[in-house]
Amino acid sequence: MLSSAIGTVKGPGETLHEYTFIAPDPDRQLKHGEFVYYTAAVDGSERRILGRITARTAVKLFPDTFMADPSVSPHTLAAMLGYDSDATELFELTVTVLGYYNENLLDFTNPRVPPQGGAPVFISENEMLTDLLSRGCQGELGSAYIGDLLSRDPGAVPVALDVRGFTSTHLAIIASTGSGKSYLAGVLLEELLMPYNRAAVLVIDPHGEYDTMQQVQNLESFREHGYSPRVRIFRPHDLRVRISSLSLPDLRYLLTNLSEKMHYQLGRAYRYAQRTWGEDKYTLEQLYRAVREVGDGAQGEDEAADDDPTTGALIWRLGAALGGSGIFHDFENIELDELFRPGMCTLVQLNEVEPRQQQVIVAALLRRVYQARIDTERGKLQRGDRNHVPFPVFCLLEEAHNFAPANADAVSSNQLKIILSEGRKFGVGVGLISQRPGRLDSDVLSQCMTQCIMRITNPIDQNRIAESVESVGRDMLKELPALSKGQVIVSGASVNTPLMLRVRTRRTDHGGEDINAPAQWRHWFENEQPAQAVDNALFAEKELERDEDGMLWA
Amino acid sequence: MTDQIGVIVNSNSHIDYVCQLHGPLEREQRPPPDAYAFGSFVAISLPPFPATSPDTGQNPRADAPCLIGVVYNSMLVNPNFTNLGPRLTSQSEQTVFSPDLLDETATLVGVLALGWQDRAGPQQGTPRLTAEVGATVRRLTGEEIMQFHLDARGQLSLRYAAAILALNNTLVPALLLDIIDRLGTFFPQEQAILQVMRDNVAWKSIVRQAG
Repeated sequence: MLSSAIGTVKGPGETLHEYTFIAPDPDRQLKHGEFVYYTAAVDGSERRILGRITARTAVKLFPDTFMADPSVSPHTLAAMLGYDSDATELFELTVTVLGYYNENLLDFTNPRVPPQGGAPVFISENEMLTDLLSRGCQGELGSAYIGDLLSRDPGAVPVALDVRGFTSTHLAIIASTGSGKSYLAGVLLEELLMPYNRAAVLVIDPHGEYDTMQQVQNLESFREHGYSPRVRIFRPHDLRVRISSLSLPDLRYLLTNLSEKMHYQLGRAYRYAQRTWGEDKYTLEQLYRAVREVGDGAQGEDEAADDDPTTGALIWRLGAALGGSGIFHDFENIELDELFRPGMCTLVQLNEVEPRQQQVIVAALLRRVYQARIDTERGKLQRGDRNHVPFPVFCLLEEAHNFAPANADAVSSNQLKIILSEGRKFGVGVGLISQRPGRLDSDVLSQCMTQCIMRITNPIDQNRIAESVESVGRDMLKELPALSKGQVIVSGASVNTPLMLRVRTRRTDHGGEDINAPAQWRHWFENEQPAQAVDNALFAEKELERDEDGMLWA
Repeated sequence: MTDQIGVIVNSNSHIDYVCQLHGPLEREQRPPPDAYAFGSFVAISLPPFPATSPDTGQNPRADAPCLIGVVYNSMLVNPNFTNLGPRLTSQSEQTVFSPDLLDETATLVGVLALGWQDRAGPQQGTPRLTAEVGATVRRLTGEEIMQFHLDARGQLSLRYAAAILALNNTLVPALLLDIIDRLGTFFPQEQAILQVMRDNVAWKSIVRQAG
């Protein structure tokens, strides 16, 4: 056992749950984030106390002056002087103690037994880490294999998230542009659609970059015993939101620059419409009528107040926001049973929808599904009802900072906050994806209990993560700017301890690739330019003709 | 055949003795150079028992009390040095006409006492007893060196290392490296621990000094 020791305990660290050890580390195994353990007697039995390396400093290095000439190795110089040993480096490593894995608590327990000075420190075996770090087990019910431990060889320590964890207590994927957040989301969606999960997922896709998820329908690895996942895409022109399903805040949000009086009149009209024609059963014309009915100049129920400027302005605004839209409709609505079904991923593409409308659509969808889940759980809805959703659902929102902005009121923010705080009870999980956590509402971010954080270089964004994400330690946050594409820090409820992972390869193609501008420019010249070039050619390159009047024409 | 190399003639401290090697007038056979080489382990006799029996010239009893030390320095004494005036006798005639002068030409070696040996066996550390002027000095056998470096539990012991490093003598690091290399041949099974010690001393005395 001693033969595999990689270091020797030096003593306690700066904080109570830290210790330091000294190691020569000739093979460069002891990377930042690597897992090591010491053994200690806990309750009468020998336990492996796992810890994570959080700092590494050199205590023995060649003198700087030995490196005066890059062509002369300091080893060569030392050997010439008589020091011909390979032991030329020594490191002090700080370890944050996680503890031993408590099978009863299904979590790490810190025994508060510090290691003895001089005790051997061992590097954790791959098998041990595979067992201890993941809450899920790769390929089993409730697991989402998203990648491998970064400090080990690819495939050596697969890490599977606990799907139950992030679908009930929510998920945040935070990364700067180009660091692979959509790719990771694609991996998660693949795992959710695997035969062992068969999730009901809705993806709000403002850029229309998840089209490639359709490939899961044709891949053999997603099929099992007659199960095959479905991917349904609602493109912008397919979207329908029934006007009567919009709430008063939705309407107020869509109609910009409302005066106090307009707000008041809209509220009265909204309630009038609901009272007169029933909740969720009125048209835009009926809403116009309701506005007229409650207007200042109205004399009776049948006498409208068209001359009232407030009424006119309100009707004009309603018409501008809802009347000309192909999305807001008098009768049609996307029903929940079209959106949610176990084993189905629904992509709602919003790439041609204006931002305010996007927020209202998302707010309306979230409100409806949340209410449907409440009603279903409480037995108010029965099988056959189109809003009957008898299973938990998971909604993934791309560009979440647009739906829950930090310093602005968005109609979708409130709905998101409700679901983030209460959704757990009714089986509505939310996954937020954002490249600007600094612009994301901090309450929203802090309520996502599983965090996948990729490379973040912006200091404002880093600070927001530090403020809102409690489960990631300071040492991990220091890694954020240094992460490469496809590397992610995962922490929170779906893993046993914060981990640095290498995201696995997607089974489907990635749809969020950057446009290759130089290649497309060249393609244009090779394929499209010749025809156009003839049209635009200079006269000198064309045959000239002289007409009857003596004018020259090309 | 005796392994006696000389007698104590002076000391610089409680553990730092000066041994004068036997000259040509004292012994027919002068001690071989490797007997008093740098890093050689020696025994200095303690009263009342001589390290080597003066009568017989044979090695003493194995349990005879003695200090155990190591040769760490050497000095040559030559009264003729800088005496450049005319001489009445040639070098070859001095043996006949002035044998005292030859006797004053000597090789001295510095011996650091690293421990002692008594009836309880060899011990490392600063000795309580002091050797006297005239105490005989002999070199240790390989077996005695091994025994000296084993503690009561039979483990390799190098307790004197810290004490001699603290002397701040420029020759000590080289001496320690020499001792460690020598012990490596006696204790091949302890090569790993000796290597750590060797690397440590070498790093400080070679790399760090040169940097």
